[in-house]
Amino acid sequence: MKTNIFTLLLLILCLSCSKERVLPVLNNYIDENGITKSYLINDYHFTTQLGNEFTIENTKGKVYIANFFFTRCSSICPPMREKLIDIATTINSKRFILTSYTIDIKNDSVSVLNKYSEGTTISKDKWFFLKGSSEELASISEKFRASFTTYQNSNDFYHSSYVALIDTKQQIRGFYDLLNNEAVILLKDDINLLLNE
Amino acid sequence: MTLKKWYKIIFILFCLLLTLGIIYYSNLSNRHQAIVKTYILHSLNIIDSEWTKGASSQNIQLTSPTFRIDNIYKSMEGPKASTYYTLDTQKDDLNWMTAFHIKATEPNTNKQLTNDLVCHFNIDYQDQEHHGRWNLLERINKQYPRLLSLSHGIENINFPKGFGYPFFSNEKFFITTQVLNHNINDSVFNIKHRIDIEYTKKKTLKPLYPKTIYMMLPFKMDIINNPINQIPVNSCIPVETKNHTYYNKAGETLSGHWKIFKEEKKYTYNATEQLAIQDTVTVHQIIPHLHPFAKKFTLKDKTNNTIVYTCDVINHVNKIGLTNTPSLSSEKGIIMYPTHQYELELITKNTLNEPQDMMASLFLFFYDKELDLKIKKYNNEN
Repeated sequence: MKTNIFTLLLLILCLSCSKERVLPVLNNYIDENGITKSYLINDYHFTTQLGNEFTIENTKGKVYIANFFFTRCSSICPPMREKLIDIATTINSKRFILTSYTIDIKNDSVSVLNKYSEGTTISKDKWFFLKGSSEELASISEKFRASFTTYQNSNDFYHSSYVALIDTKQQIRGFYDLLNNEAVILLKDDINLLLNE
Repeated sequence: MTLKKWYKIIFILFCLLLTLGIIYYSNLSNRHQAIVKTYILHSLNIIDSEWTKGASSQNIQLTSPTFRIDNIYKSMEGPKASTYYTLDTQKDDLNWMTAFHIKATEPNTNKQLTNDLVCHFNIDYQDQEHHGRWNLLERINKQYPRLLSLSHGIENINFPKGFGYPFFSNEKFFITTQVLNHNINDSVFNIKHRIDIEYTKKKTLKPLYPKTIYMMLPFKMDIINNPINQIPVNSCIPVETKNHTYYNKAGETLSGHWKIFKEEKKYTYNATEQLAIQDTVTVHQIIPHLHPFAKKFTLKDKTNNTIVYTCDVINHVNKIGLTNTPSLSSEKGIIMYPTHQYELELITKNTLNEPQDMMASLFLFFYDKELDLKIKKYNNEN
Protein backbone atom coordinates (compact mmCIF):
# COMPACT_ATOMS: atom_id res chain seq x y z
CA MET A 1 0.00 0.00 0.00
CA LYS A 2 2.81 2.37 1.02
CA THR A 3 4.65 1.49 -2.18
CA ASN A 4 1.55 2.29 -4.27
CA ILE A 5 1.11 5.70 -2.62
CA PHE A 6 4.81 6.43 -3.13
CA THR A 7 4.57 5.45 -6.84
CA LEU A 8 1.46 7.62 -7.25
CA LEU A 9 3.16 10.61 -5.61
CA LEU A 10 6.22 10.09 -7.78
CA LEU A 11 4.04 9.97 -10.90
CA ILE A 12 2.22 13.19 -9.91
CA LEU A 13 5.57 14.85 -9.22
CA CYS A 14 6.94 13.76 -12.60
CA LEU A 15 3.83 14.97 -14.44
CA SER A 16 3.91 18.35 -12.69
CA CYS A 17 7.61 18.75 -13.53
CA SER A 18 7.32 17.80 -17.20
CA LYS A 19 7.08 20.90 -19.35
CA GLU A 20 4.15 21.23 -21.67
CA ARG A 21 5.02 22.20 -25.22
CA VAL A 22 3.77 25.69 -25.97
CA LEU A 23 3.76 27.26 -29.43
CA PRO A 24 5.30 30.74 -29.68
CA VAL A 25 3.21 33.77 -30.62
CA LEU A 26 4.83 34.92 -33.86
CA ASN A 27 2.80 37.99 -34.67
CA ASN A 28 4.93 39.74 -32.06
CA TYR A 29 7.90 41.64 -33.45
CA ILE A 30 10.61 43.95 -32.20
CA ASP A 31 10.34 47.44 -33.66
CA GLU A 32 13.14 49.91 -34.52
CA ASN A 33 13.22 51.10 -30.88
CA GLY A 34 13.67 47.60 -29.50
CA ILE A 35 10.10 47.47 -28.19
CA THR A 36 8.02 44.31 -28.67
CA LYS A 37 4.85 45.06 -30.62
CA SER A 38 2.13 42.77 -31.88
CA TYR A 39 -0.64 42.70 -34.47
CA LEU A 40 -3.60 40.44 -35.15
CA ILE A 41 -4.81 38.85 -38.38
CA ASN A 42 -8.26 40.38 -38.03
CA ASP A 43 -8.80 42.95 -40.75
CA TYR A 44 -9.23 41.51 -44.24
CA HIS A 45 -11.77 41.18 -47.00
CA PHE A 46 -11.50 38.44 -49.63
CA THR A 47 -13.81 36.52 -51.99
CA THR A 48 -14.13 32.73 -51.79
CA GLN A 49 -14.27 30.21 -54.66
CA LEU A 50 -18.06 30.38 -54.37
CA GLY A 51 -18.07 34.17 -54.76
CA ASN A 52 -18.89 34.73 -51.08
CA GLU A 53 -17.31 37.29 -48.80
CA PHE A 54 -14.51 36.05 -46.53
CA THR A 55 -13.75 38.14 -43.45
CA ILE A 56 -12.83 37.77 -39.79
CA GLU A 57 -16.32 36.30 -39.24
CA ASN A 58 -15.23 33.17 -41.16
CA THR A 59 -12.24 32.51 -38.90
CA LYS A 60 -13.68 33.44 -35.51
CA GLY A 61 -13.15 30.57 -33.07
CA LYS A 62 -11.26 28.58 -35.72
CA VAL A 63 -7.72 27.26 -35.93
CA TYR A 64 -6.57 27.66 -39.52
CA ILE A 65 -3.63 27.48 -41.87
CA ALA A 66 -2.86 29.98 -44.63
CA ASN A 67 -0.72 29.64 -47.75
CA PHE A 68 -0.18 31.43 -51.05
CA PHE A 69 -0.45 29.78 -54.47
CA PHE A 70 -1.71 30.24 -58.03
CA THR A 71 -3.69 27.73 -60.07
CA ARG A 72 -1.31 27.69 -63.08
CA CYS A 73 1.69 26.91 -60.84
CA SER A 74 3.17 23.61 -61.94
CA SER A 75 6.30 23.51 -59.78
CA ILE A 76 5.75 23.52 -56.02
CA CYS A 77 1.94 23.99 -55.90
CA PRO A 78 0.93 20.42 -56.89
CA PRO A 79 2.98 18.73 -54.10
CA MET A 80 1.84 21.47 -51.69
CA ARG A 81 -1.76 20.74 -52.67
CA GLU A 82 -1.30 17.01 -51.98
CA LYS A 83 -0.01 17.79 -48.48
CA LEU A 84 -2.90 20.20 -47.84
CA ILE A 85 -5.43 17.56 -48.95
CA ASP A 86 -3.74 15.13 -46.54
CA ILE A 87 -3.96 17.67 -43.69
CA ALA A 88 -7.60 18.51 -44.52
CA THR A 89 -8.59 14.84 -44.43
CA THR A 90 -6.53 14.01 -41.34
CA ILE A 91 -7.78 16.86 -39.12
CA ASN A 92 -11.49 16.23 -38.78
CA SER A 93 -12.41 19.01 -36.36
CA LYS A 94 -15.06 21.48 -37.54
CA ARG A 95 -13.00 24.13 -35.75
CA PHE A 96 -10.19 23.72 -38.29
CA ILE A 97 -10.16 25.30 -41.78
CA LEU A 98 -7.67 25.90 -44.58
CA THR A 99 -7.21 29.15 -46.50
CA SER A 100 -5.26 29.48 -49.76
CA TYR A 101 -4.71 32.94 -51.24
CA THR A 102 -4.12 33.26 -54.97
CA ILE A 103 -1.25 35.56 -55.95
CA ASP A 104 -2.36 35.54 -59.59
CA ILE A 105 -5.36 37.86 -59.23
CA LYS A 106 -5.39 38.54 -62.97
CA ASN A 107 -5.91 34.93 -64.12
CA ASP A 108 -7.44 33.23 -61.09
CA SER A 109 -11.10 34.24 -61.34
CA VAL A 110 -13.71 32.98 -58.88
CA SER A 111 -14.77 30.29 -61.37
CA VAL A 112 -11.15 29.19 -61.90
CA LEU A 113 -10.70 28.94 -58.13
CA ASN A 114 -13.94 26.99 -57.85
CA LYS A 115 -12.81 24.49 -60.48
CA TYR A 116 -9.45 24.15 -58.75
CA SER A 117 -11.23 23.65 -55.43
CA GLU A 118 -13.38 20.86 -56.89
CA GLY A 119 -10.21 19.02 -57.86
CA THR A 120 -9.27 18.71 -54.21
CA THR A 121 -12.53 16.92 -53.21
CA ILE A 122 -12.37 18.79 -49.89
CA SER A 123 -15.55 20.46 -48.67
CA LYS A 124 -15.87 24.11 -49.70
CA ASP A 125 -16.70 25.15 -46.16
CA LYS A 126 -13.44 23.61 -44.95
CA TRP A 127 -10.94 24.80 -47.57
CA PHE A 128 -11.37 28.36 -48.80
CA PHE A 129 -9.63 29.50 -51.99
CA LEU A 130 -9.44 33.26 -51.74
CA LYS A 131 -9.01 36.19 -54.08
CA GLY A 132 -8.65 39.83 -53.12
CA SER A 133 -7.43 43.15 -54.39
CA SER A 134 -3.68 43.65 -54.80
CA GLU A 135 -3.74 45.91 -51.71
CA GLU A 136 -5.51 43.27 -49.60
CA LEU A 137 -3.09 40.63 -50.89
CA ALA A 138 -0.03 42.75 -50.06
CA SER A 139 -1.39 43.48 -46.59
CA ILE A 140 -2.24 39.87 -45.71
CA SER A 141 1.00 38.48 -47.15
CA GLU A 142 3.04 40.88 -45.00
CA LYS A 143 1.09 39.78 -41.93
CA PHE A 144 1.71 36.11 -42.81
CA ARG A 145 5.41 36.91 -43.40
CA ALA A 146 5.08 35.64 -46.96
CA SER A 147 6.79 37.13 -49.98
CA PHE A 148 6.39 36.49 -53.66
CA THR A 149 7.78 38.01 -56.81
CA THR A 150 7.00 37.86 -60.50
CA TYR A 151 9.63 36.17 -62.65
CA GLN A 152 11.31 38.57 -65.03
CA ASN A 153 9.48 38.92 -68.36
CA SER A 154 6.89 36.31 -67.51
CA ASN A 155 3.51 35.78 -65.91
CA ASP A 156 4.90 33.27 -63.43
CA PHE A 157 5.51 33.89 -59.76
CA TYR A 158 8.08 32.81 -57.24
CA HIS A 159 6.54 32.00 -53.86
CA SER A 160 7.48 29.90 -50.88
CA SER A 161 6.12 26.51 -49.82
CA TYR A 162 5.38 27.61 -46.26
CA VAL A 163 2.04 27.77 -44.46
CA ALA A 164 1.25 29.87 -41.41
CA LEU A 165 -0.71 28.39 -38.51
CA ILE A 166 -3.20 30.74 -36.83
CA ASP A 167 -4.97 30.17 -33.54
CA THR A 168 -8.51 31.09 -32.43
CA LYS A 169 -7.24 34.46 -31.14
CA GLN A 170 -6.04 35.46 -34.66
CA GLN A 171 -2.39 34.97 -33.65
CA ILE A 172 0.30 33.26 -35.78
CA ARG A 173 1.71 30.26 -33.90
CA GLY A 174 4.05 28.69 -36.44
CA PHE A 175 5.40 28.43 -39.98
CA TYR A 176 5.82 25.07 -41.72
CA ASP A 177 7.36 23.99 -45.02
CA LEU A 178 4.81 21.82 -46.83
CA LEU A 179 7.54 20.20 -48.91
CA ASN A 180 9.21 18.83 -45.79
CA ASN A 181 7.60 15.65 -44.41
CA GLU A 182 8.85 16.27 -40.85
CA ALA A 183 7.33 19.77 -40.99
CA VAL A 184 3.96 18.37 -42.09
CA ILE A 185 3.99 15.85 -39.21
CA LEU A 186 4.80 18.68 -36.79
CA LEU A 187 2.11 20.89 -38.32
CA LYS A 188 -0.55 18.22 -37.72
CA ASP A 189 0.60 17.87 -34.09
CA ASP A 190 0.55 21.64 -33.63
CA ILE A 191 -2.95 21.99 -35.15
CA ASN A 192 -4.19 19.43 -32.62
CA LEU A 193 -2.30 21.24 -29.86
CA LEU A 194 -4.09 24.51 -30.72
CA LEU A 195 -7.47 22.78 -31.05
CA ASN A 196 -7.01 21.56 -27.47
CA GLU A 197 -5.71 24.88 -26.09
CA MET B 1 -13.07 -22.94 -51.17
CA THR B 2 -11.36 -24.69 -48.28
CA LEU B 3 -9.31 -22.87 -45.67
CA LYS B 4 -6.24 -24.70 -46.91
CA LYS B 5 -6.70 -23.24 -50.40
CA TRP B 6 -7.10 -19.74 -48.95
CA TYR B 7 -3.82 -20.13 -47.06
CA LYS B 8 -2.19 -21.29 -50.28
CA ILE B 9 -3.44 -18.24 -52.22
CA ILE B 10 -2.36 -15.86 -49.43
CA PHE B 11 1.07 -17.54 -49.33
CA ILE B 12 1.50 -17.24 -53.14
CA LEU B 13 0.40 -13.59 -53.04
CA PHE B 14 2.82 -12.91 -50.17
CA CYS B 15 5.69 -14.54 -52.11
CA LEU B 16 4.76 -12.54 -55.21
CA LEU B 17 4.68 -9.24 -53.31
CA LEU B 18 7.94 -10.10 -51.55
CA THR B 19 9.61 -10.90 -54.89
CA LEU B 20 8.33 -7.67 -56.44
CA GLY B 21 9.53 -5.76 -53.36
CA ILE B 22 12.99 -7.32 -53.60
CA ILE B 23 13.20 -6.54 -57.36
CA TYR B 24 12.06 -2.92 -56.72
CA TYR B 25 14.52 -2.51 -53.84
CA SER B 26 17.49 -3.95 -55.74
CA ASN B 27 16.87 -1.47 -58.58
CA LEU B 28 17.01 1.52 -56.25
CA SER B 29 20.12 3.68 -56.01
CA ASN B 30 22.38 3.20 -52.99
CA ARG B 31 20.94 6.43 -51.52
CA HIS B 32 17.33 5.31 -51.87
CA GLN B 33 18.15 1.82 -50.56
CA ALA B 34 19.59 3.51 -47.45
CA ILE B 35 16.37 5.53 -47.01
CA VAL B 36 14.15 2.42 -47.33
CA LYS B 37 16.42 0.30 -45.11
CA THR B 38 16.65 2.94 -42.38
CA TYR B 39 12.87 3.50 -42.49
CA ILE B 40 12.19 -0.24 -42.04
CA LEU B 41 14.79 -0.64 -39.27
CA HIS B 42 13.41 2.38 -37.40
CA SER B 43 9.73 1.55 -37.98
CA LEU B 44 10.14 -2.00 -36.71
CA ASN B 45 12.23 -0.72 -33.78
CA ILE B 46 15.08 -3.03 -34.77
CA ILE B 47 17.40 -0.10 -34.07
CA ASP B 48 16.69 2.98 -31.95
CA SER B 49 14.61 5.45 -33.96
CA GLU B 50 14.41 8.29 -31.46
CA TRP B 51 16.40 11.48 -31.07
CA THR B 52 17.63 12.29 -27.57
CA LYS B 53 17.56 16.00 -26.76
CA GLY B 54 18.86 17.82 -23.74
CA ALA B 55 20.24 21.15 -22.66
CA SER B 56 22.21 22.65 -19.82
CA SER B 57 22.71 26.37 -19.21
CA GLN B 58 25.39 26.61 -21.90
CA ASN B 59 25.10 23.52 -24.05
CA ILE B 60 22.49 21.90 -26.27
CA GLN B 61 22.96 18.17 -26.85
CA LEU B 62 21.24 16.12 -29.52
CA THR B 63 21.87 12.46 -30.16
CA SER B 64 20.58 11.02 -33.42
CA PRO B 65 18.65 7.77 -33.88
CA THR B 66 20.86 4.75 -34.51
CA PHE B 67 22.15 4.30 -38.06
CA ARG B 68 23.16 0.93 -39.48
CA ILE B 69 26.26 0.92 -41.67
CA ASP B 70 26.36 -2.08 -43.97
CA ASN B 71 27.71 -0.63 -47.17
CA ILE B 72 29.90 2.04 -48.74
CA TYR B 73 28.02 5.33 -48.53
CA LYS B 74 29.45 8.24 -50.47
CA SER B 75 28.40 11.81 -49.74
CA MET B 76 24.62 12.28 -49.57
CA GLU B 77 24.01 8.49 -49.86
CA GLY B 78 24.04 7.26 -46.26
CA PRO B 79 21.28 6.81 -43.67
CA LYS B 80 20.05 10.13 -42.32
CA ALA B 81 17.63 11.60 -39.79
CA SER B 82 16.02 14.98 -39.18
CA THR B 83 14.26 16.62 -36.28
CA TYR B 84 12.99 19.96 -35.06
CA TYR B 85 14.60 21.49 -31.99
CA THR B 86 13.47 24.24 -29.63
CA LEU B 87 15.53 25.09 -26.55
CA ASP B 88 12.58 25.94 -24.30
CA THR B 89 9.07 26.45 -25.68
CA GLN B 90 8.00 28.31 -22.52
CA LYS B 91 10.67 31.03 -22.59
CA ASP B 92 11.09 33.95 -24.98
CA ASP B 93 14.54 35.20 -23.94
CA LEU B 94 17.50 35.92 -26.21
CA ASN B 95 20.48 33.54 -26.51
CA TRP B 96 23.52 33.27 -28.75
CA MET B 97 24.89 30.15 -30.46
CA THR B 98 28.70 30.31 -30.32
CA ALA B 99 30.08 26.86 -31.18
CA PHE B 100 29.02 23.65 -32.96
CA HIS B 101 30.39 20.11 -32.75
CA ILE B 102 29.51 16.75 -34.26
CA LYS B 103 30.99 13.31 -33.72
CA ALA B 104 30.16 9.69 -34.50
CA THR B 105 29.67 7.47 -31.45
CA GLU B 106 29.13 3.81 -30.62
CA PRO B 107 25.43 3.55 -29.57
CA ASN B 108 25.87 1.40 -26.44
CA THR B 109 29.04 2.85 -24.95
CA ASN B 110 28.90 6.42 -26.38
CA LYS B 111 32.58 5.92 -27.24
CA GLN B 112 33.74 8.23 -30.01
CA LEU B 113 34.28 6.59 -33.41
CA THR B 114 36.10 7.92 -36.44
CA ASN B 115 34.60 11.09 -37.89
CA ASP B 116 34.95 9.49 -41.32
CA LEU B 117 31.40 8.31 -40.51
CA VAL B 118 30.01 11.86 -40.48
CA CYS B 119 28.80 13.13 -43.85
CA HIS B 120 27.26 16.32 -42.53
CA PHE B 121 25.13 17.96 -39.86
CA ASN B 122 22.89 20.82 -41.03
CA ILE B 123 21.06 23.34 -38.91
CA ASP B 124 18.36 25.46 -40.57
CA TYR B 125 16.54 28.40 -39.03
CA GLN B 126 12.91 29.17 -39.93
CA ASP B 127 13.01 32.10 -42.33
CA GLN B 128 9.66 33.73 -41.46
CA GLU B 129 10.04 33.09 -37.75
CA HIS B 130 13.64 34.27 -37.34
CA HIS B 131 13.47 37.42 -39.48
CA GLY B 132 9.82 38.09 -38.59
CA ARG B 133 10.63 38.39 -34.88
CA TRP B 134 13.08 41.22 -35.70
CA ASN B 135 10.71 42.70 -38.30
CA LEU B 136 13.40 42.27 -40.98
CA LEU B 137 10.82 41.20 -43.53
CA GLU B 138 12.88 42.07 -46.60
CA ARG B 139 15.23 39.19 -45.65
CA ILE B 140 12.52 36.52 -45.91
CA ASN B 141 12.82 34.16 -48.90
CA LYS B 142 16.06 35.74 -50.07
CA GLN B 143 18.18 32.64 -49.52
CA TYR B 144 17.94 29.08 -48.26
CA PRO B 145 17.63 29.43 -44.47
CA ARG B 146 20.70 27.39 -43.55
CA LEU B 147 22.59 28.51 -40.48
CA LEU B 148 25.51 26.20 -41.12
CA SER B 149 26.67 22.77 -42.12
CA LEU B 150 29.50 20.87 -40.46
CA SER B 151 30.84 18.08 -42.59
CA HIS B 152 33.54 15.50 -43.02
CA GLY B 153 36.87 17.25 -42.48
CA ILE B 154 35.41 20.03 -40.34
CA GLU B 155 33.50 18.69 -37.35
CA ASN B 156 34.05 21.52 -34.82
CA ILE B 157 33.51 25.26 -35.15
CA ASN B 158 33.85 28.08 -32.64
CA PHE B 159 32.72 31.51 -33.79
CA PRO B 160 35.35 34.22 -33.18
CA LYS B 161 35.38 35.70 -29.68
CA GLY B 162 32.63 38.27 -29.19
CA PHE B 163 30.40 36.96 -32.02
CA GLY B 164 27.38 34.67 -32.07
CA TYR B 165 24.14 33.75 -33.78
CA PRO B 166 21.17 35.25 -31.88
CA PHE B 167 18.08 33.12 -31.25
CA PHE B 168 15.15 33.03 -28.87
CA SER B 169 14.59 30.13 -26.47
CA ASN B 170 11.26 29.28 -28.14
CA GLU B 171 12.65 29.55 -31.68
CA LYS B 172 12.43 26.44 -33.87
CA PHE B 173 15.40 24.94 -35.76
CA PHE B 174 15.53 22.04 -38.20
CA ILE B 175 18.42 19.63 -37.72
CA THR B 176 19.60 16.95 -40.15
CA THR B 177 22.50 14.56 -39.86
CA GLN B 178 23.73 11.99 -42.40
CA VAL B 179 26.17 9.09 -42.37
CA LEU B 180 29.25 8.70 -44.57
CA ASN B 181 31.37 5.60 -45.16
CA HIS B 182 33.98 5.65 -47.88
CA ASN B 183 36.17 2.82 -46.61
CA ILE B 184 34.64 0.13 -44.37
CA ASN B 185 33.06 -2.63 -46.46
CA ASP B 186 33.87 -5.75 -44.43
CA SER B 187 31.53 -5.33 -41.46
CA VAL B 188 28.05 -4.27 -40.41
CA PHE B 189 27.74 -2.00 -37.39
CA ASN B 190 25.59 0.69 -35.76
CA ILE B 191 26.48 4.27 -34.94
CA LYS B 192 24.86 7.45 -33.66
CA HIS B 193 25.74 11.07 -34.28
CA ARG B 194 26.19 13.33 -31.25
CA ILE B 195 25.67 17.05 -31.82
CA ASP B 196 26.69 19.73 -29.32
CA ILE B 197 25.78 23.39 -29.69
CA GLU B 198 27.31 25.84 -27.22
CA TYR B 199 25.26 28.90 -26.36
CA THR B 200 25.31 31.85 -23.98
CA LYS B 201 22.96 34.53 -22.68
CA LYS B 202 25.68 37.25 -22.62
CA LYS B 203 24.30 40.54 -23.87
CA THR B 204 27.57 41.87 -25.28
CA LEU B 205 27.92 39.66 -28.34
CA LYS B 206 27.75 40.87 -31.93
CA PRO B 207 25.37 39.07 -34.33
CA LEU B 208 26.53 37.12 -37.35
CA TYR B 209 24.50 36.85 -40.54
CA PRO B 210 24.94 33.51 -42.38
CA LYS B 211 25.14 33.18 -46.15
CA THR B 212 25.84 30.08 -48.20
CA ILE B 213 27.53 30.15 -51.60
CA TYR B 214 28.26 27.10 -53.71
CA MET B 215 30.03 26.24 -56.90
CA MET B 216 27.74 25.37 -59.82
CA LEU B 217 28.78 23.96 -63.18
CA PRO B 218 26.79 23.94 -66.42
CA PHE B 219 25.40 20.75 -67.93
CA LYS B 220 22.86 19.75 -70.55
CA MET B 221 19.94 17.67 -69.30
CA ASP B 222 19.97 15.53 -72.46
CA ILE B 223 23.56 14.31 -71.94
CA ILE B 224 23.04 12.79 -68.51
CA ASN B 225 22.86 9.24 -69.85
CA ASN B 226 25.58 9.65 -72.48
CA PRO B 227 28.79 7.60 -72.23
CA ILE B 228 31.54 9.59 -70.50
CA ASN B 229 33.57 10.06 -73.73
CA GLN B 230 30.57 11.74 -75.37
CA ILE B 231 30.13 14.42 -72.71
CA PRO B 232 30.89 17.90 -74.12
CA VAL B 233 34.03 19.54 -72.73
CA ASN B 234 32.14 22.47 -71.19
CA SER B 235 29.66 20.23 -69.37
CA CYS B 236 29.98 18.55 -65.99
CA ILE B 237 28.43 15.18 -65.21
CA PRO B 238 25.81 15.98 -62.60
CA VAL B 239 24.99 13.82 -59.59
CA GLU B 240 21.47 13.65 -58.09
CA THR B 241 19.94 16.11 -60.56
CA LYS B 242 16.66 16.03 -58.62
CA ASN B 243 18.21 17.77 -55.61
CA HIS B 244 21.12 19.75 -57.00
CA THR B 245 19.99 21.26 -60.29
CA TYR B 246 19.78 25.04 -60.55
CA TYR B 247 18.94 27.48 -63.34
CA ASN B 248 20.68 30.74 -64.15
CA LYS B 249 19.00 33.82 -65.61
CA ALA B 250 19.67 32.55 -69.15
CA GLY B 251 17.73 29.38 -68.32
CA GLU B 252 20.83 27.15 -68.45
CA THR B 253 20.94 24.13 -66.16
CA LEU B 254 23.68 24.05 -63.53
CA SER B 255 24.69 21.37 -61.07
CA GLY B 256 26.05 21.84 -57.56
CA HIS B 257 27.07 18.15 -57.33
CA TRP B 258 29.18 16.61 -60.07
CA LYS B 259 31.69 13.88 -60.94
CA ILE B 260 35.47 14.31 -61.04
CA PHE B 261 37.86 12.02 -62.89
CA LYS B 262 41.43 10.79 -62.40
CA GLU B 263 43.31 14.01 -63.03
CA GLU B 264 44.02 17.35 -61.43
CA LYS B 265 41.40 19.85 -62.48
CA LYS B 266 40.60 23.49 -61.78
CA TYR B 267 37.05 24.83 -61.65
CA THR B 268 36.02 28.47 -61.34
CA TYR B 269 32.65 30.07 -60.61
CA ASN B 270 31.60 33.72 -60.41
CA ALA B 271 30.06 33.99 -56.94
CA THR B 272 29.22 37.73 -57.02
CA GLU B 273 25.52 37.20 -57.63
CA GLN B 274 25.18 34.53 -54.95
CA LEU B 275 26.96 36.73 -52.44
CA ALA B 276 24.61 39.67 -53.27
CA ILE B 277 26.56 42.04 -51.02
CA GLN B 278 24.51 45.22 -50.54
CA ASP B 279 26.85 47.29 -48.34
CA THR B 280 30.49 47.04 -47.36
CA VAL B 281 30.61 44.14 -44.88
CA THR B 282 33.13 42.20 -42.81
CA VAL B 283 33.23 38.41 -42.91
CA HIS B 284 34.31 36.81 -39.63
CA GLN B 285 33.87 33.09 -40.21
CA ILE B 286 34.08 30.94 -43.32
CA ILE B 287 33.32 27.21 -43.16
CA PRO B 288 34.00 25.05 -46.25
CA HIS B 289 32.03 22.02 -47.36
CA LEU B 290 34.04 19.77 -49.66
CA HIS B 291 34.27 16.14 -50.70
CA PRO B 292 37.34 13.86 -50.68
CA PHE B 293 39.87 14.60 -53.45
CA ALA B 294 39.34 18.36 -53.15
CA LYS B 295 42.81 19.88 -53.02
CA LYS B 296 42.43 23.63 -52.66
CA PHE B 297 39.37 25.88 -52.39
CA THR B 298 39.65 29.65 -52.66
CA LEU B 299 37.39 32.70 -52.56
CA LYS B 300 38.99 35.48 -54.58
CA ASP B 301 38.29 39.20 -54.76
CA LYS B 302 38.77 39.56 -58.52
CA THR B 303 38.51 43.35 -58.43
CA ASN B 304 41.37 43.75 -55.93
CA ASN B 305 43.10 40.58 -57.07
CA THR B 306 43.31 39.42 -53.46
CA ILE B 307 42.39 36.23 -51.66
CA VAL B 308 39.56 36.43 -49.11
CA TYR B 309 39.95 32.83 -47.98
CA THR B 310 41.86 29.78 -49.09
CA CYS B 311 41.56 26.25 -47.84
CA ASP B 312 44.47 23.85 -48.33
CA VAL B 313 42.69 20.55 -47.96
CA ILE B 314 44.40 17.61 -46.27
CA ASN B 315 43.16 14.25 -47.60
CA HIS B 316 43.76 10.92 -45.85
CA VAL B 317 46.83 9.10 -47.15
CA ASN B 318 45.88 5.42 -47.36
CA LYS B 319 42.11 5.64 -47.52
CA ILE B 320 39.40 7.91 -48.87
CA GLY B 321 38.51 10.87 -46.69
CA LEU B 322 39.26 14.36 -45.54
CA THR B 323 41.65 14.82 -42.61
CA ASN B 324 41.12 18.56 -42.41
CA THR B 325 39.42 21.35 -44.35
CA PRO B 326 40.54 24.43 -42.40
CA SER B 327 38.00 27.20 -41.74
CA LEU B 328 38.59 30.93 -41.32
CA SER B 329 37.81 32.60 -38.00
CA SER B 330 38.64 36.27 -37.48
CA GLU B 331 37.64 38.78 -34.78
CA LYS B 332 38.87 41.62 -36.96
CA GLY B 333 37.14 40.33 -40.09
CA ILE B 334 37.88 40.71 -43.79
CA ILE B 335 36.16 43.50 -45.71
CA MET B 336 34.02 42.60 -48.73
CA TYR B 337 32.52 45.18 -51.08
CA PRO B 338 29.23 45.46 -52.99
CA THR B 339 31.00 46.73 -56.12
CA HIS B 340 33.61 43.96 -56.28
CA GLN B 341 33.57 40.74 -58.29
CA TYR B 342 34.16 37.50 -56.37
CA GLU B 343 35.16 34.10 -57.69
CA LEU B 344 35.28 30.61 -56.26
CA GLU B 345 38.21 28.49 -57.43
CA LEU B 346 38.41 24.78 -56.72
CA ILE B 347 41.30 22.45 -57.52
CA THR B 348 40.56 18.74 -57.33
CA LYS B 349 42.82 15.72 -57.68
CA ASN B 350 41.17 12.35 -57.91
CA THR B 351 43.86 9.73 -57.36
CA LEU B 352 41.59 6.77 -58.10
CA ASN B 353 40.48 5.28 -61.41
CA GLU B 354 36.82 5.53 -60.39
CA PRO B 355 34.99 8.88 -60.84
CA GLN B 356 34.23 10.60 -57.50
CA ASP B 357 31.46 12.99 -56.43
CA MET B 358 32.32 16.61 -55.71
CA MET B 359 30.58 19.54 -54.03
CA ALA B 360 32.15 22.84 -53.00
CA SER B 361 30.28 25.27 -50.75
CA LEU B 362 31.21 28.01 -48.32
CA PHE B 363 29.23 29.10 -45.29
CA LEU B 364 30.10 32.74 -44.68
CA PHE B 365 29.23 34.70 -41.54
CA PHE B 366 29.07 38.49 -41.82
CA TYR B 367 28.80 41.00 -38.98
CA ASP B 368 25.09 41.95 -38.99
CA LYS B 369 25.17 45.68 -38.27
CA GLU B 370 21.44 46.23 -38.81
CA LEU B 371 20.50 43.49 -36.35
CA ASP B 372 23.18 44.61 -33.88
CA LEU B 373 21.52 48.04 -33.57
CA LYS B 374 18.14 46.39 -33.00
CA ILE B 375 19.52 43.98 -30.40
CA LYS B 376 21.19 46.80 -28.46
CA LYS B 377 17.88 48.67 -28.27
CA TYR B 378 16.05 45.45 -27.42
CA ASN B 379 18.52 44.77 -24.58
CA ASN B 380 17.99 48.29 -23.24
CA GLU B 381 14.25 47.69 -23.14
CA ASN B 382 14.45 44.20 -21.57
